[in-house]
Amino acid sequence: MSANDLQAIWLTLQLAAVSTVILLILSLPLAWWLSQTTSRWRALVEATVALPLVLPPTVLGFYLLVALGPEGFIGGSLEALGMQHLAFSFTGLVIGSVVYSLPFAVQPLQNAFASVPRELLEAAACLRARFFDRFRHLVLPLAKRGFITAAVLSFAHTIGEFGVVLMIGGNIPGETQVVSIAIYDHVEGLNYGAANQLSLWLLAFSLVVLLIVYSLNRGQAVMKLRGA
Amino acid sequence: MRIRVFAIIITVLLSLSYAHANELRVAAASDLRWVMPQLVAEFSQQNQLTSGQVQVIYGSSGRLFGQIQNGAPFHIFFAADESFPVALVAGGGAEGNVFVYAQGGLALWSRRQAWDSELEAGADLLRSRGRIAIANPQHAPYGRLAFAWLQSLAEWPQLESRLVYAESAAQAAHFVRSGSAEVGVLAKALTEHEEMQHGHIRQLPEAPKVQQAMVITRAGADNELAHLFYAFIASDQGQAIFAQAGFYPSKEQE
Repeated sequence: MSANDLQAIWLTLQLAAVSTVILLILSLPLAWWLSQTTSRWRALVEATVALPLVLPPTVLGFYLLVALGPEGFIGGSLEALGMQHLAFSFTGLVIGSVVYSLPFAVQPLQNAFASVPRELLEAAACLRARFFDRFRHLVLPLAKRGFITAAVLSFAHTIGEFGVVLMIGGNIPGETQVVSIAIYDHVEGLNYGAANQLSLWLLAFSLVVLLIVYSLNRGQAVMKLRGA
Repeated sequence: MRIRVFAIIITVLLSLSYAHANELRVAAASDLRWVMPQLVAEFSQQNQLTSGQVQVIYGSSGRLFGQIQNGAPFHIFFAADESFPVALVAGGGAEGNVFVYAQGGLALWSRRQAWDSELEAGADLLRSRGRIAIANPQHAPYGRLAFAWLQSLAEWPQLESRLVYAESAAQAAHFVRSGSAEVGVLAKALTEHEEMQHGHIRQLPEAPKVQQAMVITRAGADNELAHLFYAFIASDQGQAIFAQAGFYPSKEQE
């Protein structure tokens, strides 16, 4: 494997790791609110979170490119403050990945939070457990699997990202050229051998990740039966 | 505690995305895939640059143009025609002179179908079966060129429904190489690659040609290497490499 390919793999792993951490931090309050609220805005927020599932990555990438670039709302404000705009930078890719993978983090967490029995929380409240106490000692342990699923799916989904990073990344080796883009570049350059090697790596990696998720979920089903 | 660890990890990972001071980023239309490495190698040797100092990013001229307009850090832009660099200057994305570095022509490539030079190109093309791949005429200059040439043929009505559109000139070649399209109407320079020698090539000297032009972008205005590379491309040595790689000389050189 060429140095360029290894660089792309390393960059992809960095991107996926950073995006996953940010996604989990963002999704935690959002998923909790969605799982508990009776607000009429809930449907709108849920729909917005799910948008990246439906929108073609090119649409998302295009909007992000325009927003993060020097002419855009976000990039332009940063430039006005004397900073760099965010298109074609690693930070820009992180923002793109976070938007793109948001439903993969929020939805498993929301489901896990929703399945925490209400009576349990109410009983704890009667025992004068404060909100953070209840959250830390009841919700988090019970929703652990939701966390793992959210983390693994966000990580895996970011690794497989293509359309968004092609638009806002600009295919710069060492900075924004992730594995999926490197494969695309190899195919266009008719380097089928190199494309094959990287693709196999990605295939094996994805299979392992999904195996982990599904074995964990199977474990959960068994536990539920025992608990019943 | 945990949040602090996360914060440190994020800071470290973000700081790894640095930019080198003395480097050149070339945005090149994808029909330059075979010639650009030779140009870069020769240029790097002359100026004693290390291998990572010149990076080439390939793509369709239209996509690269859009990215440069939105602030992509590319220092010099090699388009597959004149219109994109001119538009870039007009839009403020570049300031320097637009220079036509070569003229590009067309060729037919098929993996299975042998060409018959006795026939007119159109009739020859009609003998083939299956899909005909060209780059997208809406944004790829070679797509526009191929489309215009096909439309000029008497056989156009029979050929039209067989077209498939690729994102760029190089992707059109890939469609043929992988067997999903039977014939490609490709950039002549792309057919010079050794991979292409497996199939059958028919040159189309009678077809229209495209003026391929370059310009130094606003991001590259202060980049010394960009100006050196620009001069190198215009030099006899640079032009000779283009000629060898299957390009027609630019009008300014004739």
